[in-house]
Amino acid sequence: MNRPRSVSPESSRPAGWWQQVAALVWKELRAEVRTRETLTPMVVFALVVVTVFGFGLRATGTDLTPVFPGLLWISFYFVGLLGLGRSFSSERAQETLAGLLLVPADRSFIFVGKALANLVFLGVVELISLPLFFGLLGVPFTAPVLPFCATMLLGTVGFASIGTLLSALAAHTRAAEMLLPVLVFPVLIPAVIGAVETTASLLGVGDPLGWKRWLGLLLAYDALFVALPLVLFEYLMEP
Amino acid sequence: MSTRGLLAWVTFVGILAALFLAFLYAPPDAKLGDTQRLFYFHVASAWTGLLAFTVVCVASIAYLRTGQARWDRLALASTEVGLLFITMAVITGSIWARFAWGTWWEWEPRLTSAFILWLMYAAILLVRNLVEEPERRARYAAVFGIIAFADVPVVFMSVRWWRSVHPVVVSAAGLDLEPPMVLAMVVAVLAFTLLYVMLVGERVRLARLEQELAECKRAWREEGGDAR
Repeated sequence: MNRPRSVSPESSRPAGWWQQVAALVWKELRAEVRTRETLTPMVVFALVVVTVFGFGLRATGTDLTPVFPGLLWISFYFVGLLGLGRSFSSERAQETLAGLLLVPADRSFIFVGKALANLVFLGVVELISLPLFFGLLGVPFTAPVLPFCATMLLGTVGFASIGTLLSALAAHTRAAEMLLPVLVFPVLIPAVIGAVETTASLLGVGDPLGWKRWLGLLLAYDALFVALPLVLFEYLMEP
Repeated sequence: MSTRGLLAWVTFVGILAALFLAFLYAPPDAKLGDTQRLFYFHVASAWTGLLAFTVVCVASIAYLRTGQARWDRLALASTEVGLLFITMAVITGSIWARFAWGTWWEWEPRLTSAFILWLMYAAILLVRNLVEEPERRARYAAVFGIIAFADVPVVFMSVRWWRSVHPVVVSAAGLDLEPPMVLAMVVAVLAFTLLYVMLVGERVRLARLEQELAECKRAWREEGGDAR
């Protein structure tokens, strides 16, 4: 028996679930600050995407306002995919996933921690690149701020949740980085529709009063695809 | 006669009856003429595809709860057969659209959700191909099988609010069809359902044999034999 000699009462008591989640998120953020392996490529890719759209579409003199909501969300979801791909493959490469699995706790904390980290990463990218998307593509920001922020948040939460689950699934397959987009995008379609329609409605491109209904769809999507991974994640983490 | 043989014969007769009713018995449509006869096979394959994916979801849940390999074999069989029927529904629908709407494809709710369904279940087969260990493969396919099925109503409802050009034949108001057409449709649906049951049964049997063969090979290799 290789037990540590002195175990203080505090450390032998299992930490609370939220504490574990917080610890994992903190670990992800610290690792990111040290290596800058996820956020930097994501931000750079977002800049590349907006430049490509600028040159590819704006250069012809087309008004991008009608297609702007679609461009915006497709870009963010593609950028987000970069972060998702790393979220489990980096653990695998350094064989640290086993360490996480050995934590004597309900494994849902791994899922929630990873999903929150992915949410933060994509959120940071969105904050940085949103002004650029509006500015460089020549689309005036006319949306009411609060509903717009809610749309950004809800559109990103569902993506981070289902994306984290499918990233865990893809990480253990051959050709993980090729499989992930194939798995994520079909499942994501309702979120894409909801986010694009809400944004369009808020920017006055679509039905100006329709945004509440579409925001409802996003909310329903998020509720379903946050709850389902919580139940199913355990089955992906069995050795 | 064995149950398998009996089922095969009943299915054969059912398909013959469906063909007869659809091509010879039912009258041509007032507007679309003979093109409308595609409808019977289109509805039957769409129904069978949805039934198959429901079975995939149920079998996936059962597999995750019990861990019994037979549920995984059922999920695998139903995924493959369901994909076949959804493919037929999309192709017949596309041909029908060419004549009824003058276009091969329209990004409208029904077609879009059917096509997304196709993509998701094709992705399950990809997952199955890309995971080596049988037990892990079964678990992953089951997880995605549940996710994909949960997405079905979301996709369906999310696009509901778009304008739809897809005809609504079966609605709360009843059937918008002539009685001989109703008969042809019902028989086609029943025949395709029988065909589904038969194909899934055969595929499950094949999967079991494949598994037994793999186990025989492994046992042989462990004894020092040269199994290829």
